[in-house]
Amino acid sequence: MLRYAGRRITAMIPALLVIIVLVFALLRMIPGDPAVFIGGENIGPEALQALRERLGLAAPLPQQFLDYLASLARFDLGRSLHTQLPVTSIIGNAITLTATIAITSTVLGLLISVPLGVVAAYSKSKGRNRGDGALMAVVMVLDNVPSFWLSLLLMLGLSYGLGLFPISGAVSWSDPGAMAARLALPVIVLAIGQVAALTRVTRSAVVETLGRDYVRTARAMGTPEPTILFRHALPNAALPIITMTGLSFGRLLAGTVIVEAIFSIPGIGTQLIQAITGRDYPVVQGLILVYALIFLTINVVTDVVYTRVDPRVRLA
Amino acid sequence: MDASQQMSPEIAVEVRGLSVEFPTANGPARAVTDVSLSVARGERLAIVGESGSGKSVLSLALMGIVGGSGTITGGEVWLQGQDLLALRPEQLRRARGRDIAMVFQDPGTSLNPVISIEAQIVAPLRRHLGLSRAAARERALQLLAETGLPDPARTLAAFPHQLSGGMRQRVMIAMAVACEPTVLLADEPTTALDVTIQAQIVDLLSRLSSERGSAVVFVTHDMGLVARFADRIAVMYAGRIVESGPVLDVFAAPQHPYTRGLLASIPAVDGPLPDRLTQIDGSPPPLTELPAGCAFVDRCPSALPQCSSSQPALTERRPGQVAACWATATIDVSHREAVSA
Repeated sequence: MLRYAGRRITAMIPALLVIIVLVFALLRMIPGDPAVFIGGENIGPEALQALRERLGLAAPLPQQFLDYLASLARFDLGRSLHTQLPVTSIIGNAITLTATIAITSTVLGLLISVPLGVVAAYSKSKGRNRGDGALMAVVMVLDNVPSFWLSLLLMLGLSYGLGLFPISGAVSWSDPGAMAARLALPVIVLAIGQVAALTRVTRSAVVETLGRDYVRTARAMGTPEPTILFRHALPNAALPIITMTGLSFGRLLAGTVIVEAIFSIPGIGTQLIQAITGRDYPVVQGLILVYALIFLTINVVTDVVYTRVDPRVRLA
Repeated sequence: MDASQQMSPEIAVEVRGLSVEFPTANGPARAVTDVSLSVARGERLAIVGESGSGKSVLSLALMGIVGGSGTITGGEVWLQGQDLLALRPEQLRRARGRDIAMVFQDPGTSLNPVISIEAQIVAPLRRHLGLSRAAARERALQLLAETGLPDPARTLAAFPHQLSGGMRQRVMIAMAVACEPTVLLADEPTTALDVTIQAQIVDLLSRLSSERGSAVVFVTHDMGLVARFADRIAVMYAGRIVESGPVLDVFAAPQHPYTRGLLASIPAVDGPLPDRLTQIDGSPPPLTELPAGCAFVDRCPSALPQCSSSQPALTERRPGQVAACWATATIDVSHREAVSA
């Protein structure tokens, strides 16, 4: 298992290199000079040149790239052009927030989708197509609700209307209760965004396993229906569900960027938007690298989880 | 042997007028029509017939299970003084695995691949017999040892994919006999296995069931197996039982033309091998368009005019042997004389 994980992590290196090159090049193709953002529109040509030199933007691009690679090799992501704070500490502060939101909403999404999918599959297998149809119609509606619209709707209803959740204010771990209330809406919005895909996958996978011989055996041995569903059918349907959870986690990360902006949560999504707007090259580069690492790691984690669920899967 | 069973007819299971239908685009397919049978304690009944004759559907319907969208449209299954099909779902579930259990055809797909053998055997023991975890494990070890598995403890810890087909079928049998059911059903339990394993599995099934006094209903199309294993035989055609009786009597003097055809299609082990195996021409009618009369009429060499209009009832031809046929019913007497001569 460890050897397998080690090999998979080594295999990430080429992908990461490509991403490093692409992001470095693309960023510098966007119009806009960081020095102008920092020095202001009215800065004189000499002062601008001095600022560029101080920020390390005066050297030829290949030189800048090599310097960047050299510092990356020392696990140094550089400093923000604007605040001079180390990029690692900017990311470190923001990522716990984003990770909390992403993981909580994935868990919540699974807690909603898996039972929904199992119930839909069960209705279908019992020929109760109306129950199945109704559930899937709800899921289809959820699938087509844009997350920004849902965010605004929930803010309007639950925050302004009922005053249940604060939508602004400090985001700090010192008061866990307030933190939970502050993060609740973004988590709900992102969880709902996952429900459609996960419910569909659960439903179709469970429908398939319910038709298998071993389910008939379980029934013939007098196994109660809930045990058949959750102990016999669901684990056999787990592989597609895990795959979809991994894929959907990727989409969810993209979703955090929008939702963090709407709920003004200083996660890595918000940092990314600010950094791009201010052409803060080191911060953007560092953040994209982190996103890429998360995506690649999720793939490995997904494969390792397979082996925990299905004894037939062996990592080679 | 037959006589002794006639003397002690302690009925284990009695089926009356069982019918099963599946809805199709062409109307309901009548997979099983008006089947009645009874099996005594310790008796072994073989149900034979070609593919699609309804024998597997019948065996599942005995425990109230129909696959897909099928329904049991009528009938009773009396087991231990109660009609299984009239029970509430919860009571029926409790009877399954405890009073009536089944060994399935393909042990490769009939065991759950993600659940250990231990969990699969132990769960019914705990559920039906109320055993503690440790006691159920002990019992499972003992059951696996009885099936002749060389290393029960290791088998218990294994997952199905780590076992061979023969080992899996032994596990399946251990599960089925675990709660000492009154009736043990077996749906072609050896079809998916190597020939060398088949005999072992049949002997095992036969030994374990007789040790526990279970009645066995055995679905197969292997006539060799029937001769070796069963006391009585029931021949199914297009969803109905067309003939049944003691195996030796039916083999010696089949009363239904279909049974005769079925037996004639088996090549003799001794004597010259025929150039072509004897076959019954034609094929059974679609289950959605069963005729008013006998379903075998189009393939029958001795069909009478009344056969296509009127369904023949099962009538007794010799003690314990019944057949549903107009043609042989009329020549019954002469035939009986010919047999006894």
